Amino acid sequence: MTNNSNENVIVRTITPLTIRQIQLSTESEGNTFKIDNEFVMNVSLVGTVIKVLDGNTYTNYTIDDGTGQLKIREFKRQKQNNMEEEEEQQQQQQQQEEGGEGENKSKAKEIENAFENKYVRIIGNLKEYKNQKSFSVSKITEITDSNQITTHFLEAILVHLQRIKGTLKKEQTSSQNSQIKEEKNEIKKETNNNNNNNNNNNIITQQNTNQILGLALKDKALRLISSNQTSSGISLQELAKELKSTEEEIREIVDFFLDQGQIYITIDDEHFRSTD
Amino acid sequence: MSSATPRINFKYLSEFEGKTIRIVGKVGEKQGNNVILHTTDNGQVIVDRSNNLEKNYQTNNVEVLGVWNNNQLSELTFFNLSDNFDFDTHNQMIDLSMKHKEIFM
Repeated sequence: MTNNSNENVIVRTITPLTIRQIQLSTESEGNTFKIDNEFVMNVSLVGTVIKVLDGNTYTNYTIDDGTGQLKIREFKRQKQNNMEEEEEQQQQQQQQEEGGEGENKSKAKEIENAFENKYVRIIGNLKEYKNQKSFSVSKITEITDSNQITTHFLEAILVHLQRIKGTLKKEQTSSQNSQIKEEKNEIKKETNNNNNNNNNNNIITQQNTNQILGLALKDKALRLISSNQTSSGISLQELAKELKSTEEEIREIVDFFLDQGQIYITIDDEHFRSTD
Repeated sequence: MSSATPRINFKYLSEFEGKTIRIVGKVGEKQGNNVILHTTDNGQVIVDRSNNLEKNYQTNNVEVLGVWNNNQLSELTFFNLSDNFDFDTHNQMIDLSMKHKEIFM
């Protein structure tokens, strides 16, 4: 849910990005950045660790994802609502970058070695700090299934296209529609191929036939999810059954709503509740 | 100025002469300091490992980052990839990334 009239914009979704996108983003409101015309706060990246700087209160990583390089910082003690503390840490970090005092070179080398020749996934927060882009890390983990690298870039392409060209809307002309659908179908086909071992050849024909039904189906799905008041929410299977649709189609619909922040997952990634 | 090291496959190599790129492949035959890499689009690339001999590939699939020059890839570093790596999907991702260069390079 975004609040455009306020300086403190809150975005609840995680956006998969490339470092190039972060480098190119200049627009911001308050201290929140906009990429592809949408506010982004929580970001996921996939890349490799080039350099590590270890200080007393933070660890600085330089990440390369093939599209560019980015310095990111992981604060060691997370005091989320304490702006003063963060500012102090930023100051300390600036001192350390200049003077090298309090730097733990052997720990840094240890971390570099641990991540050498490996890909990592980073979840973090992109914001403006003293007119500069600042990326603070929530989580940095090694990728063990390398297909996640491929999937990440496919997702970044998909979200990028959705944000600049728009999702399927009734008002768009049919030629725009078919061009976007063609690209999205390609991407969704690859993403699905990558995510599961099933034969997904029927997804494209399904999408074509659902072009008209699609919007109605999405609406019904959201209504069903919203009407469910149980704490564990409604399951993928129940939705498929109620809407007389396949689980794959429902999966696409819920992924869309998850991205938009209109629903969230509860006990596992097959149970959903509405955020309203 | 972009410091991108684009992910490509065999068919795009000619566009990146002299550039630093990343290419994924299955590790093939060793020939002295060289190794053959079988790319995701069934091409074969000779990788010159002279600058990185102390580190050995630890998996059958790797992504090599290096400089493409005179039909050889001079390795700078590499990344180990899991055995279940899907070549086909990765290949198609590369094609898509070439169609949308604005977010990649």
